[in-house]
Amino acid sequence: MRDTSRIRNFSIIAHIDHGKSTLADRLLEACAAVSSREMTEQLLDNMELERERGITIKARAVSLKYKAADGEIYDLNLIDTPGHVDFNYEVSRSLRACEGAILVVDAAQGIEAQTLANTYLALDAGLEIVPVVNKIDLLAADPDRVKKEIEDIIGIPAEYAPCISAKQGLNIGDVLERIVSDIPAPTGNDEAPLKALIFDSQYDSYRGVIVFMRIVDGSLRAGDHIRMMATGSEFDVVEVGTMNPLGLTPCDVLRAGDVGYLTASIKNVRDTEVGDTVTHAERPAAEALEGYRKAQPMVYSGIYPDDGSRYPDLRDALEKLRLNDAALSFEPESSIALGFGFRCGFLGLLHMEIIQERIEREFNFDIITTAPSVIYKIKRVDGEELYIDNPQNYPDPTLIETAYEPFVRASIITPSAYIGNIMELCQDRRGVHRGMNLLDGDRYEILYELPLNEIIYDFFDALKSRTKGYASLDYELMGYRESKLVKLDILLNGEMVDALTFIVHADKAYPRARRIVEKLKENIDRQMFEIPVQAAIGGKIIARETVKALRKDVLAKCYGGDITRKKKLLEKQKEGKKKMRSIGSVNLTHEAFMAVLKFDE
Amino acid sequence: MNKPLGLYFHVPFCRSKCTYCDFYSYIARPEAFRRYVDALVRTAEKLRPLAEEYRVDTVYFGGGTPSVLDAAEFGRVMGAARAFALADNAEVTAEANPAPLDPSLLRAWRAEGVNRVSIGMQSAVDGELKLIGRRHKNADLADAVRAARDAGIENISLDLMLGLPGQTAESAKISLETALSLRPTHLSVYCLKLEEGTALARMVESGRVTLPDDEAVADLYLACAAWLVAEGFEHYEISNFALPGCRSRHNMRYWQRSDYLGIGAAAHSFFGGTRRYFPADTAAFLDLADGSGIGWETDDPADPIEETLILALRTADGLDLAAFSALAGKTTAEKIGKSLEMFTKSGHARRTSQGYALTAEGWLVSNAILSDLLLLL
Repeated sequence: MRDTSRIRNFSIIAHIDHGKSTLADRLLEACAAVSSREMTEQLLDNMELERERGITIKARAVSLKYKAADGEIYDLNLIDTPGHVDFNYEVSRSLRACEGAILVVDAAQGIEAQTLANTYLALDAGLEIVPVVNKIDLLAADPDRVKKEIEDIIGIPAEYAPCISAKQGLNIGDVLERIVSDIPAPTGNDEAPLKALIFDSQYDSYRGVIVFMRIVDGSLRAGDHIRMMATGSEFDVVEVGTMNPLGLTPCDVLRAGDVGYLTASIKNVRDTEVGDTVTHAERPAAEALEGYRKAQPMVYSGIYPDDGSRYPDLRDALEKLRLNDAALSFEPESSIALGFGFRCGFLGLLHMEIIQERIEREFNFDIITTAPSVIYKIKRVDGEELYIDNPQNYPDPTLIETAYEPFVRASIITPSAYIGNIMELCQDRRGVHRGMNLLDGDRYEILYELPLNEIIYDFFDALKSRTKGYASLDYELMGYRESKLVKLDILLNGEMVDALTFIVHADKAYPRARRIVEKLKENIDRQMFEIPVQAAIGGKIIARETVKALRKDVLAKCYGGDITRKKKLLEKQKEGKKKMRSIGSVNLTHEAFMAVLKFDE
Repeated sequence: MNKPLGLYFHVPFCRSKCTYCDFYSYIARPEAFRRYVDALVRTAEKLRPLAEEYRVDTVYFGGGTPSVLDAAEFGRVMGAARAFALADNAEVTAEANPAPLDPSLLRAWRAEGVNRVSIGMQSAVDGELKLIGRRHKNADLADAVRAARDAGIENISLDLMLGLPGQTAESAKISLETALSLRPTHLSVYCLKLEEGTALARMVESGRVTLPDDEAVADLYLACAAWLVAEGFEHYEISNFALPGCRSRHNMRYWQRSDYLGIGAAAHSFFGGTRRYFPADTAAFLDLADGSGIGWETDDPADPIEETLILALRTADGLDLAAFSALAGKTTAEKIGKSLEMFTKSGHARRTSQGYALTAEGWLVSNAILSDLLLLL
């Protein structure tokens, strides 16, 4: 058995913007893993979008060598985790690969909803938690209050928590020492059959999928024949190694307790799902590590190229993105209004936005996305159960015995001043109040059960604006509940616009219908004829607006025979029309579509 | 030897700038006029060799305000025009503003061959005239028309505007009645288009004046067109009305893609299938005139198919489908014909003996219709 006493596997957990990535960078620097010349801001967040948004989307891992105060050299394996509720499952798998977690709390803001949510995930995983108070350089910093919060709310001792400024590199050494002293060394039997936990994978066009994993038991070498226990797929290992901050470093063997990677000419990230267990095909482990779950999309939306001829490009983009994102699912769909596109499944709204942004940015073309929808469950009168991810497929009401919609358990942390606003918002979103906890001095945790459908439109924005940004939100899926749902159709000039069909709670149907028809009226350019804009449930019109016919659009005078000016004007108008979508006889701009799908109030 | 040609002379000067105007014109001291007239004459001389095979049958003095030039200056430009092969029955038009219209200048014009004047009346309501920055009052108009007639110029066109700030159905009716009472042979009725950067645009933005909305202007336009037609005028182009035989021959050539040479700053030409123009810069025009070349710029290529469609449908004569088919090909012509047939059903177009023309309702939304049709080319 190898001595693992100088290995530490840990991750960093924090609420968004509390400084997780900055601390990771400082740890890398302190271990001289990278020279400051090579140091791009926030090295671990290496997707352009991640750096821009200041969030971590993919998990990353890196191995550091640290010479501790006791004179020994330690292997520190830092596993960075995504920090958003959409990626809770991924976070939980990353945490399972660790023995400890550094809990970063902002010295001014204190504990927030995601701090709590991530801490609970870490506690669930049996991790040793090392609290760290960050941003003590801020004027508003109050480390003592925050330490007390950590003790009172989370119930872990924080008296000696390092007080640091990751930004200024202050007291980073304290954190490293605490990692060595407080976080247990990994245990595990390197003679036992192989069990390695996949916590991330990444597609590389030369090597195929690179699988990032924690060896729990056993050992792994190049040439080994392995099997993924959940998917059953088998591969021959080409290379194993560890993650150096500047790249992958091959090694001969990975043993129980190690964090490392393998390559095996794997073509598809779907063969290497997060949470799956890698074992030897010839000498498999008796059972897989627990907790594996297939990536489950929660939110669906249609993605269409703005220019119909880019459909193959869109397919190409989605396929490329899926190489690296096992949670992204898509299948072709078509819409009368939008042409050919794809129905895409996402882990949540952030995941959806990220994919949409990456398509436009990395593949360089405009897309139209339909309103996000959750998955509804329908029990038909004939007893059959259906899951509906596309409002267009919603069955006729006469065929439905019971409809169900997904609910989430939401936790909102807020200063007391905004409790009223928040409760009003949650009530308005059909929330069921489930309690309130005083966290400390002036901060409360409000618990609500909310339909997911109400959260995916603009709940975050509404919450932010009603609490001046002070409240934070976290939620987890709790299952399906019976609900009164209706399908709301939108008609332009008497023709149904399939891309604008929504499923909505019966009580919300009328206000939603009003808002959509008003938005459409505002955004549709007048055309040669009057256009009725209607919203209907079943065959019944419940809201109507009218876009009046165009009366005047004329260039009355061509001064001094200047025909060119007139031609240019018409040319511009013609180009504008080319870009429009025609729905039956009505022309709609991209902007009009997007405006309708956006539900700002 | 007998190809027809129009000559256009641009006089970019005004005594004051109207608040709606974004056309190339500015206020200059009379000293500047002489140099500019020199440049017009020199440029005309340089262009003349190009026109050897042509016979000039229309001459048009536009602006700006051609009536700011004195009789001698005007005579020099007319001299340059006469140096071309000028037809005996040529239509010679000059634009004039009613306010400072000196009867002796009109007599001089007549003597130089002017046989048509286009008077910028715009409105018969003094309040409206003031808001758009016109220098004249309604009372000046009758004097100006009388002076033209006294000078022997019988072919008189009046310009009117719809959609003026403060204009109502009643005030528009007064303007039209006033215009008709002066027995013009021709009327141009323009819908005011608010141009960015004009004084009027700023007045509207700041809320000092409000313009009638599109609905109101559309109603005014249709009412006005119906009335003039009832009075015996032919609505022969979007904005133009004429008694029988009194269409503006010069303006017609714009719509019929007949050749014209535009001389002066910001003047446009269509000659031998190419569109050209002089930059909208008087100083530059003076320099060019001093130079050896002509100095005009070439516009984007003039696609005859596109242009024919756009221009023909501005007129009551409309699009001749057989001629268009010869130009654009049968398939395209059929598509256009089919689309125009649809517009016939909605009342925006009508059939003619050779094809289709737009109705007054269609003209009102002609940009929308034409941009639709362009998509079919």
